[in-house]
Amino acid sequence: MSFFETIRIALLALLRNKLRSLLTVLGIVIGVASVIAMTSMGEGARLQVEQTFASMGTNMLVILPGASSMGGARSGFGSQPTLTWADADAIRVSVPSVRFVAPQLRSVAQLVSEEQNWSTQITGTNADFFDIRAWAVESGRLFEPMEIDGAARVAILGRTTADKLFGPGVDPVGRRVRIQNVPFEVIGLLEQKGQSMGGQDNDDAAYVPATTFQARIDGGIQHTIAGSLMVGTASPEDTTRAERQIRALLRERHRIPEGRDDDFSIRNLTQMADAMQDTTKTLTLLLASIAAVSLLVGGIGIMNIMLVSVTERTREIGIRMAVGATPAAILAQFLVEAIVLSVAGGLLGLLIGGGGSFWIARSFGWSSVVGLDVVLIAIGFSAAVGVGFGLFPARKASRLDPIEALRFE
Amino acid sequence: MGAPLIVVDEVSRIFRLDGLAIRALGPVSFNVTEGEMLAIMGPSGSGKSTLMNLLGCLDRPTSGSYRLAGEEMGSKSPAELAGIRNRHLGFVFQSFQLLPRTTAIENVELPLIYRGNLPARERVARARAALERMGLGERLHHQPKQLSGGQQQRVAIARALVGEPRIIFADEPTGALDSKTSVEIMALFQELRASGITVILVTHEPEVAAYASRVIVVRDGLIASDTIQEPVAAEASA
Repeated sequence: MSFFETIRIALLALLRNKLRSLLTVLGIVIGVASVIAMTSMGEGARLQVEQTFASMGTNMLVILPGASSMGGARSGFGSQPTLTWADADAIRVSVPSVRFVAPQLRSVAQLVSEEQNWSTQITGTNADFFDIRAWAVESGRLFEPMEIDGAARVAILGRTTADKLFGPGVDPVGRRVRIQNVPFEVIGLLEQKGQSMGGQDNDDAAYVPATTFQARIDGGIQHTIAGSLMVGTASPEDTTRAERQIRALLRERHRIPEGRDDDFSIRNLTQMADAMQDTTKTLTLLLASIAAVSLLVGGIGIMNIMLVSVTERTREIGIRMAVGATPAAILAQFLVEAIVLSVAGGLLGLLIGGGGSFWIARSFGWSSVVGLDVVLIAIGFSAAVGVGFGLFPARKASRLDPIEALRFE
Repeated sequence: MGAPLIVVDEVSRIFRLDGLAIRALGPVSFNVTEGEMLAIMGPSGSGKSTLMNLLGCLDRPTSGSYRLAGEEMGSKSPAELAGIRNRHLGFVFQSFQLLPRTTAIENVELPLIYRGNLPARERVARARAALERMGLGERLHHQPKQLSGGQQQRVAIARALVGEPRIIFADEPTGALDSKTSVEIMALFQELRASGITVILVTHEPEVAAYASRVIVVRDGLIASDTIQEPVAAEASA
């Protein structure tokens, strides 16, 4: 008997019991739909995390100065200025995997333009900062080394800050702002970067050279860094090695004996990003495996109905055997019926799951990605469910004795 | 006369039920020549159905040898037996055994579907021809429940014929029919015999057995008598 003949016979048999076939398929539909919805929304969440970290900058370490424990009062990292400018230079010069080193000195201050004022976060840093965070200017330029060394009164603005001070869409390059009564020239406007992971507006910021920050905003040049250091490495793989090397270097420079705690801390953002990605992956896997359980339940539903069908159609099986159907032909017929049921369920579930996740993602503002791999896995898996749970009833049918089957009432 | 079509040599069939061996048949020995119309008679439980199932390759003997057209059937696998039934044998049953909710022509096509590599168009043409031969040319697309008992049995005979078998087995073919229709059905079997097909009937009615050219009576699993006779012509009496 030909393959198409087998499929035709299976379809005819299934259409004879439309309602039953539909209800049988429902289990697979729900299973496949939920697996597709879970994985595609999980993939969307993973992309979201990836984008967020990409906007923060990749291949990045943050070094915070030490914790203080003076007079019994213990404060967290950053409360004690233990990092020096010399430390920063040493890291740049002697750790080979480090490509960029940028200080971050932070303060909230009021900026005043000719027409408006706006309080925002001022960061004192250098040109490396923008390399680490992969942040380009929309117009103007970044800091020149001369401006850093000479504590030039120049500022780079984020989009939001520029809009508040000069009006929406105005190019601020060449204009003047005053920060704590010191006039600065705006030399660059940063391209828009959107929200940070914590929900803050990345574009509501202003940047000045670190030296200028110390001299004009923070009140005097010091040899310690009253903020943090950002370190950029050549590639994500380098971050772990760089972290180890920087730790060793700083412990040596700070003369910390063996067994004592560091007086600084290093945060590895690449590791954090990886950890977060792993978390979303794990969560997706968990959700998908819960959904897969319903696929299993759907498979058992198919087996149940196929067993009922074999019993009901015992005489039909007997007739087919009497006129010359081989046991293999009977096996194929019932197996194909089970596979047709489960694959039809899989396709329907794919439509519902794909549509559902698209709709949910849109209404929550997430991205949802239905990957081709997920589609193929869902279809393949439902076909496998059909084979797996159809085999037992089909074998039962093929092993019937034609004489007994013909006598069955 | 050439070599016999069927050679039954010391054939027994023993069923095992809860460790108990029940001898349903045998040992029996006989030959059937091509073109015979053989009636197997006997009371219920005599073993006549067991004998027909063995001859029809639906079952295999426990011991002894059954040769069909020179080939030993006892050692064939279920799949090989299915192929032999499909190509060389046709079956007609007391309860017709048509597929419900399936049209007459689709029922008749069934053996050809399992024959394989036969184009659908030829299959349909042969099924139509078989039904027309049974006088059912107008009923091709009727389902069994829309047909009378006699018409259903004609569909079943068409199904048995469509594969051009050498032997047709009929198990109580008139058991569910009134006497007038029974005569018509028996006339069809005599026609088939005239066209060269060997017919083997199982019946407990002497009137039906009278249409056969030979009668074997089975009693308690053994052959009680084996008689060659002049068959009565089945003509529909007014």
